[in-house]
Amino acid sequence: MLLKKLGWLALAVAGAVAWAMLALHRGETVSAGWLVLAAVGTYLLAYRFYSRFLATRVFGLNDRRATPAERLMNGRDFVPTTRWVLFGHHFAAIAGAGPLVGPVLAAQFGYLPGTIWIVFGVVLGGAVQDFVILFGSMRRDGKSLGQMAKEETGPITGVLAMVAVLAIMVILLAVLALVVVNALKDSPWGIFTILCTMPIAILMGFWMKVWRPGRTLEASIVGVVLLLLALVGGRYVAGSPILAPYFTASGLTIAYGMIAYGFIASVLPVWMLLCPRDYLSTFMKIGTILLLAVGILIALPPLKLPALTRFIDGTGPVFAGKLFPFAFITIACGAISGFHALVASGTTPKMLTRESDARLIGYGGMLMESFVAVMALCAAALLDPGVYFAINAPLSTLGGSLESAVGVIRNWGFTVTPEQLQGLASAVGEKSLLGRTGGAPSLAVGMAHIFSSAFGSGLMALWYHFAIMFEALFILTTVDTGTRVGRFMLQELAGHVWRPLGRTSWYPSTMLASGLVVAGWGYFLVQGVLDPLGGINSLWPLFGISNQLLAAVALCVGTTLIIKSGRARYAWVTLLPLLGVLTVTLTAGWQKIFAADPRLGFLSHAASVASQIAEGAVDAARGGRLIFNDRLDAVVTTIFMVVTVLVVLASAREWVLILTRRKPARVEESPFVETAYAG
Amino acid sequence: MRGRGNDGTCGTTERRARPESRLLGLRTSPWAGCLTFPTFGTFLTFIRQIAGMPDYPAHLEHLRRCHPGQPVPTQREFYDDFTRARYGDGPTRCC
Repeated sequence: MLLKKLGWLALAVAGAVAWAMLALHRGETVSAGWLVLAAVGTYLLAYRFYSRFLATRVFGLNDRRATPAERLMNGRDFVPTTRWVLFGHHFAAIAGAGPLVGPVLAAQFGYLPGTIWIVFGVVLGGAVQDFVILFGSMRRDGKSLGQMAKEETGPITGVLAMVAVLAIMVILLAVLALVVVNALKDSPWGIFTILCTMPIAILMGFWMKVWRPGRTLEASIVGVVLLLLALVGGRYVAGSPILAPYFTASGLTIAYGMIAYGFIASVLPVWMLLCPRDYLSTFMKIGTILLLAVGILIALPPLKLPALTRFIDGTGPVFAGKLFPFAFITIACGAISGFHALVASGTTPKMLTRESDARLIGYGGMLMESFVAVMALCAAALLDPGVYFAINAPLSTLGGSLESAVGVIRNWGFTVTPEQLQGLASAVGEKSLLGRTGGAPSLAVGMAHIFSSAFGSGLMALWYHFAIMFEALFILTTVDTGTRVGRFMLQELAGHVWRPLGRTSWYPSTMLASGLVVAGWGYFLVQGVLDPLGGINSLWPLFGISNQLLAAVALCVGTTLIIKSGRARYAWVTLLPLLGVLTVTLTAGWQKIFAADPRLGFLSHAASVASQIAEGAVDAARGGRLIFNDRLDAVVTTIFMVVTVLVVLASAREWVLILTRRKPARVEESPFVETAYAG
Repeated sequence: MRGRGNDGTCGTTERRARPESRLLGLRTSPWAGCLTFPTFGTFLTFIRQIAGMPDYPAHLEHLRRCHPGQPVPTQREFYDDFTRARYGDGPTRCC
């Protein structure tokens, strides 16, 4: 007993020392080991003490209460699942490209702000959100977030939540697709590998459906082997003067290709493309993340990025805006991600074996995603700052050539030479790494460094393209599943207007809804590719704002659940993160719309383009398009903010009615059934 | 409305162990349990469940135990049914 207490105390001390090292260390580089230690120590303490408090006091998890998986078991979606298996499953469902990209972009402020936000944001915000929604859905037979919002706070909130989800989906898909475009443009190796994933997935689909029905594992092994062959083959293609031009494409071409792919994938039967891709990317994801963790622990690379850079003043080249609120917006997944509320109220609650497992899976699963974000941050921070900015600043800022880029970066106070950049590009098998904004390429370079220093050098190019392939693989999986989900939601909303439109099996309705969803994100994607500021600059903050506003909606639902269950004295566990998220996102939203700096504010950018047109510096047609996009972005941001404020107000009204006893505190939980399981 | 029957024991009064102790052996020691697979079959089940794949043998077992006498789907029918249920609607993946 005493020994255990001493163990936790030692862990707390070790964590505190690691934080002090990170925060106070100046001058020389600091080892990534301190960062990992600080994060893991904090996670373990938070899991042991805070999540236990949530589980026992706030939610009152009861192992004698039968879970939906037990009561409704059908061997298909309601399946009682062992907790460590479900942990892996849930983790694979929530973690994707989000936690890998955000921290890399936020590294423009230095490694410290990102680390603090990732670790404390998850412990007090993100993991609490996932846990409360998983708990709520588990007590309601696996109902979705939208259904819970509707039942607990009224039908209007339900519709608003659904509109919010649909709008977020559009922005999310556009920005993730843009990350892939920036990674693959003018990269024959990357394009060849990614193109290969499509026939491989279709082959797997036929294998599992037609040739060897149901043999999913067998097909997946074949798929993974073929994928690795495609990766190796890509080097040959890139090196061949005859083949390489066929696989070299501009950003715009890739963007149109992805739009076509998204449409086709969402109307094809799921077994043919979507389902096999999903298996493939799950295996790649779990495998690569384990590999990355082992690699970081073996290599323990020194972090060359400073703790804080001068760009906390808002002049950063990767995206505009000051440390507050934009560090918190840029890192959404990994710290707090509203999108998880959809997964935590989807398949996972239908698979819990006992109520207390929700603690490990809801809270612990999110801690694990946060750790992925920490590793991504390490991978970005181990690069020379000059290299990091050469990869991530937009081409319009860097100028077209290596020399101009080096000059610009030197002006920012970081040393880098043209030879260094050229050498790195050829080491990873690319012509140039300049201006590949979006996080994926710099993460891939970082991962290639880690892998080659942990598992032997010489394979740098292969590791780089492996990292690119694995990121693009699950971004494309998000693109096809996301388009499909968007289609279903649009059809459901349209069904309220004209019934036949709501039939998901009616072909014209399916084509129309898929087309509309693809057109939605495709429009933002193409504009992002054409944007002279680099697209990520305006789209990524928009995504962060929307994702965290969805988190606000989820935290509102969570607070309502807690208050209705008669535990209002504990409502601060969701109210505090709700307040934080609202402050950050509403400030960021306001700044994105109204800030006077044209790099930051949509409206002032529109005004500056207008004056450039008047001076004749910008061609009227192109300028007109830019102005239209600025105004569109401003309108979209406004919609996000208004929807969220409405949901918060509707929920607050509910809370006041219950707390003043004008409305009975009654939860809509499924009735208690005692478990039939022993122990 | 879905069936409300308590399917954990398929209606019998006999108390059964939770699935984990069958799959992973020691319930009290999750780490040890995670690494000990009694058979190759349970290892495959482990992988399938993590990846969210259909588990035909487990489904057959469920049918045999809880719905004896009912027609048993072929592996292909079960696969189709499972895929439809899983990817039918709602997001299954995050970003």
